[in-house]
Amino acid sequence: MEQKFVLIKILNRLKWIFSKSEVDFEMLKSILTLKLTLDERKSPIHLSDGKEKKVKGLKANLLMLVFVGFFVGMMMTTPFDLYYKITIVASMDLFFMVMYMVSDFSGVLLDVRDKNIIMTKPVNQQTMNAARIIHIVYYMVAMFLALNLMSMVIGTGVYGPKILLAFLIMMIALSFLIVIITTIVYSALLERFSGEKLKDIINIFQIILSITTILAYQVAARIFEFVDLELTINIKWWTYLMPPAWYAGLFKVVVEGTTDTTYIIMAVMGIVVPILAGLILIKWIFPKFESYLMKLQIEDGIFISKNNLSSRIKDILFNVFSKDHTELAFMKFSDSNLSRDRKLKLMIYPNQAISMLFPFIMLFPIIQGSDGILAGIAGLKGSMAYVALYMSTMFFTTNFDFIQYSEKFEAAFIYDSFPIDNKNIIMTGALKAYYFKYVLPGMIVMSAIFIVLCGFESVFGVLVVNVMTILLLGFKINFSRLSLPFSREMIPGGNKNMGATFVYMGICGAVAAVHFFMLKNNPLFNLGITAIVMVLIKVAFLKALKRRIV
Amino acid sequence: MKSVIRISNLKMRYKSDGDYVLKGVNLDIHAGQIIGYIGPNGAGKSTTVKIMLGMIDQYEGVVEIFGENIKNNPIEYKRKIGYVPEVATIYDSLSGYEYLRFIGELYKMDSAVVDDKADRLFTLFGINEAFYNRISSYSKGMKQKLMIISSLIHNPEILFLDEPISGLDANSVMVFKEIIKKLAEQGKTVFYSSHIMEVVEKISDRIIVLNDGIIVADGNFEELKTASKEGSLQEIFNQLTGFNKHEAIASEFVDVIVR
Repeated sequence: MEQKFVLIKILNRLKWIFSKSEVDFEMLKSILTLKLTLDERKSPIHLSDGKEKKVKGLKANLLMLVFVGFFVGMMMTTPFDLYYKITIVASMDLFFMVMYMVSDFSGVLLDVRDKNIIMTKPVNQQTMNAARIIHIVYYMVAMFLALNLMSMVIGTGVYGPKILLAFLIMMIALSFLIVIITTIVYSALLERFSGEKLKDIINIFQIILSITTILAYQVAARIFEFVDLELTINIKWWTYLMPPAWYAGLFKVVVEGTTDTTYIIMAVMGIVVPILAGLILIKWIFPKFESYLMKLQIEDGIFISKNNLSSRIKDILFNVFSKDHTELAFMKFSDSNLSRDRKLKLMIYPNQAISMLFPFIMLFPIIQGSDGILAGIAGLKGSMAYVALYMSTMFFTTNFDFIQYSEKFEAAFIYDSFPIDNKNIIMTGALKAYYFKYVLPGMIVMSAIFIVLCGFESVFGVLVVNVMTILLLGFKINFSRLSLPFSREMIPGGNKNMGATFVYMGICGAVAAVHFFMLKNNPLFNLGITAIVMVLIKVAFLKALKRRIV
Repeated sequence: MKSVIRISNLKMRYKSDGDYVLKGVNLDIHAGQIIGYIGPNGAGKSTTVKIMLGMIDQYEGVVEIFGENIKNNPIEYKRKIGYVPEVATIYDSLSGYEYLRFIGELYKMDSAVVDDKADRLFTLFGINEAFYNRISSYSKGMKQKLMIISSLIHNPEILFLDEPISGLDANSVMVFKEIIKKLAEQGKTVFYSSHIMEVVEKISDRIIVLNDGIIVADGNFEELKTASKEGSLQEIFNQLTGFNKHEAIASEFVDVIVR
């Protein structure tokens, strides 16, 4: 095949690296060319109006990262010590690269198609594994370059071209470090578990990792606000365990020529740890990697219990809130799908965490402004701070859009092949199931916290927020052009309709503003509005059933 | 005659504390044979094939292909084997042409030879109009034909076929059966596993029946018939696997539906 891929051209120059190993270089190039061709051809999204939209998943993502990197790059112009600047830059790199590694590139690492097609041909394991790692590292490097474009440009201006050398070392070390560590962690999981159970565990691991990274990022951003401009370098023993600190140290050594032992140790760790991890990978993990992958293909049945307490409660709840038998069926169907579709869960859970985190982020400035955090929290008593709950409402209801997607979206043919006279009922059933599964539990927790924070007089106000949430969901199924549940393919980075989302956010904001300025904490007003909204909800659902399907 | 495949005391379990799927399989296969490999669901047929293809490596026992233990040299023998999997996993955003090109590269074939062979085989199978189309647009039968071509393009000595005719129309099935016979005449070995007894009965020189991880019958159709005193391979199969309730189950099944 003619070589149009940059990666292959670069590899041609690095051929000598592989000359001592058992990797078959020509075959490595064939496999990588195939992989890159496949990546280029991610299937297009079918929009509801019948038009096809080509999604350049990766390219769109890279542009987004350049945009993010732009702001962090501005850091380079500040008078802070280089150590701090690079700590922040490297933390950002780590955050985005780990996020993408886990959510988008785990599939590349654990692709079992390779096993069936390539491993039955005369290809040795070393070549296959090298192809896997290089394939992912290539994307990591692309992301690194996008993220740090601005930092590199400004950095060169401020510190001279020496900084580019430091960036180059960090790019290689960090990219390999992330890919290698992820592979080792997956292998450890594969060693212990197998089949369906393993896929569930990997899924939980991915969800937890995404959530912690989001949380860590929010917290880290806040810490720097607290500290202001009074930055003193404070290195504790655990600082040596933080990869961003290693690379900050590396920059001090390479760019400023510091001979301080602390920085030299860090710089050395930044290079030695990836190499050690790589040796562990090659020596102990890779020889067993294919048999680990085989475990993913073992089909051992997972028993789904039928009659435990929570499923009985759910049955009663669903029976009460379903309109008729068909809707009940689709509620149960959606509920099972929402609990089991791993890719869907990977999309929903981190967003669910953000939904529950944002109201508190909004409160931060209020608490911070007064004297001390405890006093700040006490100051919330009797206030209308619970209006921040509308943030949760907005995210929870926006997340409902995820219902359209599924790992096995082709299975949506059942909507057409079964005798369903009104397809709107599929949507209302899915909406109710989604509400009970994700929105209601989240809102109960959030409401409880805010009632405690704002005092008893906020109960009626919080009630209004809750009924408003349902009304907004009703609004959503009437006016947004959602596809039928579980009927669309998920494409990394291409799943949200930005324009419509912004309009919807505006509506949520308007609702919150009206609540804040008109209702106040007046119980009568609030109860009156609750009653009106309940009627509107009923109307919204009746109208949703008569909607013309798009 | 020299054996091309020799399996001795092959045992396999997927978990170190689990039950054995294969409980000691012994096989000796000569060049030019068409082996019909049959057995009920879960008997261990696919596992045997996957072990011979090197897709599973933690088995017990010895597997020799072309006279060499496949654990000693897990790569070289694969140059001379072809495989049609039961479920067609395929990189389906490629075109048929690109896919075969890639497969050719893995076998280190000359690309001009691959192009020429691929084009002619596509034409012979009557799907040449789809040569440059994406595989995702292929019908089930077209995909199966592509899998068959990709398993043969490098002129292998042993062919492993797992339900190779599923999705093919009746005319293509006739062509394919003839191809297998002609390949065997060329001295190639065909390992054919299937649930369609009529086809296995017609094409196989030798039939091996696997039940619950062990071989319960091995011989040509005539030998099997004499041994079991049954008339068709279907009946022999039922007898060997201890199954005689098909009518009772069927009538109960219909009762459940129409009641």
